[in-house]
Amino acid sequence: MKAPRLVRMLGFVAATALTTTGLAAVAMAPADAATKSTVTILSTAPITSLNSSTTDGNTAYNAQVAYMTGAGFSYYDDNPTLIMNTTFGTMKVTKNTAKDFRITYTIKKGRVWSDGTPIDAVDLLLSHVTASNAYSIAAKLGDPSKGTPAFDSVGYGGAYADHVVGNPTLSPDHLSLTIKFDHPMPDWQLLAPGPSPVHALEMLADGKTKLGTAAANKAAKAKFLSDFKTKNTTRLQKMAAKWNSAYNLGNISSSTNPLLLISNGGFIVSKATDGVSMTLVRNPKYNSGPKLATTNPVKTVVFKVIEDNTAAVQALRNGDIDVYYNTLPTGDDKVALTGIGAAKVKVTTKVAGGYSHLDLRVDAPNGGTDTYTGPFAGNSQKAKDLRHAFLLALPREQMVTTLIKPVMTSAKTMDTQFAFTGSAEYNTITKASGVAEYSAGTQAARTLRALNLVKKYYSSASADNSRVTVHLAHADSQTRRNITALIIAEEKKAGIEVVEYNADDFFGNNDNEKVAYDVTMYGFGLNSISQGNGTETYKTDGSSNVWGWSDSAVDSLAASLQGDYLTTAQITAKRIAIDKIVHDKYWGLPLYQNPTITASVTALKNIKPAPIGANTVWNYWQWHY
Amino acid sequence: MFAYITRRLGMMLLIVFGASFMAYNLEAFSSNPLSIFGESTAKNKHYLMQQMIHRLHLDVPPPIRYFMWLRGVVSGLWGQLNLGMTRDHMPVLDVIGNAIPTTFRLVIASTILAIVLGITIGMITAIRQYSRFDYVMTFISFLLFSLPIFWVAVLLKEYLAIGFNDFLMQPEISLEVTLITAAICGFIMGGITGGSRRRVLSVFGGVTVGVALLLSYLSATHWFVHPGLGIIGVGFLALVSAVIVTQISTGLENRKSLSAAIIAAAIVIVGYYPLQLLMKANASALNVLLVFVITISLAAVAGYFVQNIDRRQNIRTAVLTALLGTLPLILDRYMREFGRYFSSDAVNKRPVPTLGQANDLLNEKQLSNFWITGLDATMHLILPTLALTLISFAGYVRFSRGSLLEVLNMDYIRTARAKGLTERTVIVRHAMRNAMLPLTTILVNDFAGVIGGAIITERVFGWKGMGMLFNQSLTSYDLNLFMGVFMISAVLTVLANLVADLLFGVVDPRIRIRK
Repeated sequence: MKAPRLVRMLGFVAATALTTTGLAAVAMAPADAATKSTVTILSTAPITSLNSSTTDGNTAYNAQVAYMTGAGFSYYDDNPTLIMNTTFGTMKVTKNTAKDFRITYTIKKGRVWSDGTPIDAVDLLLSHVTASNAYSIAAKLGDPSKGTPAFDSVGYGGAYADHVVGNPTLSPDHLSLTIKFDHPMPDWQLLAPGPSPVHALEMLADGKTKLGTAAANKAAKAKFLSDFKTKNTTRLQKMAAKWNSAYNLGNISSSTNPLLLISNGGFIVSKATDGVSMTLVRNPKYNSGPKLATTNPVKTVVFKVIEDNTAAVQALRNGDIDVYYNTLPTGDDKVALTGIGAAKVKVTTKVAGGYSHLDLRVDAPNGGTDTYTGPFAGNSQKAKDLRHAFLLALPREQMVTTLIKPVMTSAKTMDTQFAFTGSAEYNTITKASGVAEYSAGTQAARTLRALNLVKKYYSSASADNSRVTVHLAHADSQTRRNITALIIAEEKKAGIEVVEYNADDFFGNNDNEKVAYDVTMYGFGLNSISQGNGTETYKTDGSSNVWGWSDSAVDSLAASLQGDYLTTAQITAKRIAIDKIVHDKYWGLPLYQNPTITASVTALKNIKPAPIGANTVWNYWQWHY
Repeated sequence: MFAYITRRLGMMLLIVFGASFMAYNLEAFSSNPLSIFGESTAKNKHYLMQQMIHRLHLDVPPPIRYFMWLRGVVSGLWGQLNLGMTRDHMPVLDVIGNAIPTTFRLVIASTILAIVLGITIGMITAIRQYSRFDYVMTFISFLLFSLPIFWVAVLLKEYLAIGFNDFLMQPEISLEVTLITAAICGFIMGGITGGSRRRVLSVFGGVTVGVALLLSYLSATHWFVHPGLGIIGVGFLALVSAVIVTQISTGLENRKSLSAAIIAAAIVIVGYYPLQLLMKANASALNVLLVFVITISLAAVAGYFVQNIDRRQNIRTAVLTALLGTLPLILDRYMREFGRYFSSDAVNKRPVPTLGQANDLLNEKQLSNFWITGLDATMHLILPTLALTLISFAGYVRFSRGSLLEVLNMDYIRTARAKGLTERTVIVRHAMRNAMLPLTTILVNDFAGVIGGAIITERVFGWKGMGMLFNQSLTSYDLNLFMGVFMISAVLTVLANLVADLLFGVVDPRIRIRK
């Protein structure tokens, strides 16, 4: 008679437990503190380094941490506008002639690193070491254009390296630094050197593992200045070795060398688990940027690595993370996020700095050895007509309606690569550039025009008889596969057969350049807004020009945009002129600005994603509950 | 024997060499690290590409580059193993050294659970072949076997994390849920029970009513936010272990064994309050070990004195009971810490996380509390462990069922029965042991596979183990890291094969390894 005994036993247990525990102790205890003071932010890839200026450490994920732990002369807000951080210091042009252009950077007195060491202009010098090819060569640190320089820096070979003259000069009080260039630098505000705790680097090179005393820090900084001036190769190489890899920490704990964690931002790194999470706490000595919020402020920020998107959405729903963002969102993501409910989670959609563009090949790409002989090759009337036909039949509005609008209802096609959609300059450029042809009338009418252009050369061409075959290569993603399907269907009506070639790596190394593609579709990411933006895409052999585009008028316009000191009106005029040529020669069309989704818990205030720069963390000082 | 092992090891070297050469070249040819520059608009793009080519030796053809990598591996012979650096400038050896314990933590519990559960259920279904329980378990195991882990993970997160945390806001179970759960438990227990219809029905009824009462009690007392077993719960579970251990080890008819087991359970009950002194907030793993040592050694002594014949089996029964009975004692200690963990800022009343290895927001005080950190680790392990167990135990169920059925049809089983041995002795002593033989091979290989990591599981649950490293090495074109992970898996797989073969010779006297 097993069962009755079991029942009796259970009954006995239940009764005794009831009497012993009692029902009294069931009231729910409140959480320890009344308000939350922590924010957990999604990071879709691991944070690999605290130094985001090395070639491998230069990722958006590392940059977010670097931004929160390092304040400089300027930052981008969510508009995006470059805002001067006058709490830290100021910069101004102090000489402006054709051959002598000087900028003076002045740090406001009293700024300190988190170890208490005063910040001065000596801290800006490392920026010169890691960006000037000439200095690297002169200090025998290696020629960045030929081999591997001692400092594995992302900064060499750019506009700064090309135009800087000599070494920067310090003011007697060491608070100002003047940098000289060989001609007026249009985007001079973007060239501002960032401060680095050079005293810590000196001490790291000495193998120190503890924070120094005030006197030791001062001595170390003086040592750096002399090493810099005398181009002390041995010392600089030692520092470079530390700079390259000591900041790639993996795990961070209280036993981590504190010299590596010195910060002048609002936060300071306190712990990390390799590839899983990184925790930042407030920097009590912070005075290099806007004041942190004081009511219900955020005191701890955690970056949590979640690579899987579904997992990230569920983590947000469960409260495991407070801020979610997605730079490749789909309509389904939007539905899932808004489904959580506005009471719990605020969903923001916004255009990103990145955009997708479709371009037609004209010749061999720069540096390539192959010759391009496809239907779009050269500038004969036939090639131009075929390119024109292809672009006319490109269903750009349909792409936006079916694939981008489910994410962002306000999405529109992008009509120029020179300005953010919706800005005043964007409207001026697109009205004058001739791009209107690709949105005038209905798509059906445009496709019919395209068919007629094809028929000029292949009279038997029709929707059922494709006479032109083009290969479309794209950087593989679900959205691009869907877009390609739309393109294939529409181009077919114009008598053009599109063959899809999807691969993650159709550009880049020499082997893949041989792939016979005629059209490419991928994204460009903007990390700054500068006068020279887009010029490398259009000028002959520009670093982003892989379609063999070449036009002398474009080249001189691009050179002027890159190297002349222009007014806003002049800039816009030159950009219109380039766009006109691009449309005359039928080189390609931008498609749309990529949308992004950010979702944050409603209780957390002031999460305003910025399209370029530091993404969600740009205004961390404004966050509060 | 020695010659055999040497020969096998030599073969192993050749296989690993060939496999690593192929893997290296396949990965090197199929990936193009430079492609990340395609979307770059940086003005110094050419400089950056040149730097990458220099650093990763992309100008050296992969088959030759392989030997540059191999040099570091061969240096291992004189103790200077060098698997190169990852793209993040970290030594591959260090990165893998960090990842292996993580993977182990993630996978070990589920592997053991899957083996124990799988073999137990498999054997029960074999013994009760063609019973309702057999059919239900066959259905469930095939169902789970065919589910993809990422989907199981999504469901588990939905119901056991998000849903359960929501439930904890108002931890009361509705009547329907109570009844349905109780009925399911009753059905399962009834299914396992053999014998007359009346017996089956009474077990079904008893279990159903018991579970329903228990759930109502838990719901009424908001037990889920203030869990604990108390001395009564611990005592009850210790007594249950006593009965189960005795039944399997010697049979309940052996009264002396039973009393040894019950004394062991009594030791746990009597020790409930005194042992709490060892389990304070600042306790360590050593204290927990000490608790086990105390209960087990007392039980062993008791087992020794119960009877002066059959001492070995009495001690064995008592020790096993003490071991199983102390588990609820420890569990109870953890549970009593739950309330504080639950309402801390870091947890914010949502104790079951959907992912992660640990709660990053725990403060120093909480981190120094052994029970809180243990609880935190457990909470983070629940979902991944459950997911991995669910999908992997089906294989063991099918395998052990088949194996036991085969053995049960053997002549020597019939002989054993004919000798008049009890059914318990026939199954536990004669059939089960032989049925376990073919399982050894699988077990050894599975343990080797464990280190290779669970790629998808680690990704969806945000764990940084070997699987994540493998994934990362592929997405970031990190050839050294890829080869590091590959070598560990390759060497372990080959070694596991060798160990399995050797082990087979040890456990099965019919097989001898000859030179």
